Amino acid sequence: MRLKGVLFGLLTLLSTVASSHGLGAHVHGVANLQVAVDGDTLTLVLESPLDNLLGFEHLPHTEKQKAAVRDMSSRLQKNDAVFIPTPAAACRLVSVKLESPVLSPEKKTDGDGHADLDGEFVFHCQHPEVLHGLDLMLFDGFPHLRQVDVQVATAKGQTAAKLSSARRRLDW
Amino acid sequence: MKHLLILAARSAWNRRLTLGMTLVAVTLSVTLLLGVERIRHDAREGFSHSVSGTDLIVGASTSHVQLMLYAVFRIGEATNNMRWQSYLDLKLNPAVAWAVPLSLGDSHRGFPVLGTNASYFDHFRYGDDRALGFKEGQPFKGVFDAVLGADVADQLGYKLGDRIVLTHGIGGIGGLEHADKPFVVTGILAPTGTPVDRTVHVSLEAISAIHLDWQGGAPLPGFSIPQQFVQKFDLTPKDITAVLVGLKSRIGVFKMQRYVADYAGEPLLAVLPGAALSQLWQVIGTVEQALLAVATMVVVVGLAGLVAVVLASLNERRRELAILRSVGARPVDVFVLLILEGLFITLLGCILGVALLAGASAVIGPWVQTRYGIGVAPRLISPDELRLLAAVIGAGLMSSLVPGYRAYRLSLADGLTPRL
Repeated sequence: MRLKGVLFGLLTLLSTVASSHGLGAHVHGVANLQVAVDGDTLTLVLESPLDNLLGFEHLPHTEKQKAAVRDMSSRLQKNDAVFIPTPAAACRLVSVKLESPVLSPEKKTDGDGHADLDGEFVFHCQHPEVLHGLDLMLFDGFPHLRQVDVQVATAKGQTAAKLSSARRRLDW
Repeated sequence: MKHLLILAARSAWNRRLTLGMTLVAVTLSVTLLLGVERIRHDAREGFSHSVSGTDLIVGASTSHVQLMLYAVFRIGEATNNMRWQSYLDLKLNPAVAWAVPLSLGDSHRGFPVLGTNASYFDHFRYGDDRALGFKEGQPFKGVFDAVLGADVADQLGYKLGDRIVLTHGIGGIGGLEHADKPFVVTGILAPTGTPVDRTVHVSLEAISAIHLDWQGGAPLPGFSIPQQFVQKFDLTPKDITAVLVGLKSRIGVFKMQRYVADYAGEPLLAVLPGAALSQLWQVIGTVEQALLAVATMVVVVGLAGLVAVVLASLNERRRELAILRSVGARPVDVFVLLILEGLFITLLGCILGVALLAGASAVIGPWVQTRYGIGVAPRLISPDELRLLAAVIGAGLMSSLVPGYRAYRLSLADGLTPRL
């Protein structure tokens, strides 16, 4: 019985550590990625504090900052630049939606001065049956990004992983 | 080669006591190593088999892993309850294919009691998308019907038609019983190897009914509602523990997760059970590595003992080896002789270790299953374990080189040279 108590304690302790993955958390250096596979469609939703991608979270003031925003936006919209799904699956990037206060300045940022970028990337795959992973290429272009917490939902099941510049491959 | 084998065996038999003790050490260390690996493997297997087909688990706001552990494995602490209204809203969401409410908290002789509705038996999946099957009987129909998991029926010896009494909370000494409202067993589920086997299933209405005349966690003194009258009351639950949700499209799971997180009625949390499990493994992986490292060190200690014993025996065997040399054994033969001895002990230790582990899993396995919910599959050896064994034998061979080499060096001159 005592062993069981220790086990509970350990699991509870561990679960508080593991719970830092929650939605809506804003931790600089960490981004969240949600991967959903349905039929031939691969949908990726990236949520990242802007600091990871730009180094600042306010509206761009100087020319240099404006250039950084443009650079980020064009980099994220480039095919192959961010995600490389299993090559054999022949996936093609069909749409990218980026949403952030720095991209649409008419929307005000949250009161606390922190701001995120939400991106939705949709791929269509010719051979979805062999699609079982992707390489995340974000770390090279965005050195402030240290870790990406990933949740995956496919028809086969669900999984989760932590990616970093040392571990860029996601398998499911 | 064959005569060397015989020589090695006979010589070893002469020193059976010391070598026997070494063999015990090697055997136990191998058992420990394989045991750690087996429990690690089976725990993962069992956990990931317990949820299948459920896209989301929704409950009151807590940590992801805690909600998943409590709702699926009844491990850990109870989370807050969520309102019944939230369940109804969730169920009506167009993206939701099915939603099964769960209410936990009571127990029956140590086994958790789960309040749910009949849809649980239709939608719950385990293993490779397998549905629950009935060994006997049928789902509960009346308020005081109960469906038992396979282990509950087995260990407590219940049959259809038996009467059981639920305990408030997790029971123990001084636990309050719902003795005035016994349940009738109407169904027994087929074994699944998941926490379902250890669960007593009743209807949500039953959970409400047995607590009708209770307040603040205890029966109201001098006030009791007889069993036959509970139907006159509104038995709709006010709150539940969690909801298992299946979606029409699996791709919608993240959208649904956000919908639940933003739900206005109360703070709720939606967890992808598979993802939460992976997160748990990420954290527990470190502990597993540590356990495996300790077990490996124990094997190293066992093999070091083997080397020490064989090395020490070289002294008492000076004459034996010298005589072998004098009758024509080459130094290489002596070398092989010593290696064969070490390898033989390691091999025998591995075989005995596997046998010991098989015996232990057969004896302790059922107890571990009921106590901790980890089903240890009875088997001789798995491919992963075979790889570990190969490593142990390799290490045994390598470490036998040490006494082998020493004997090879010494045997050239030693033993026959009289010492003055």
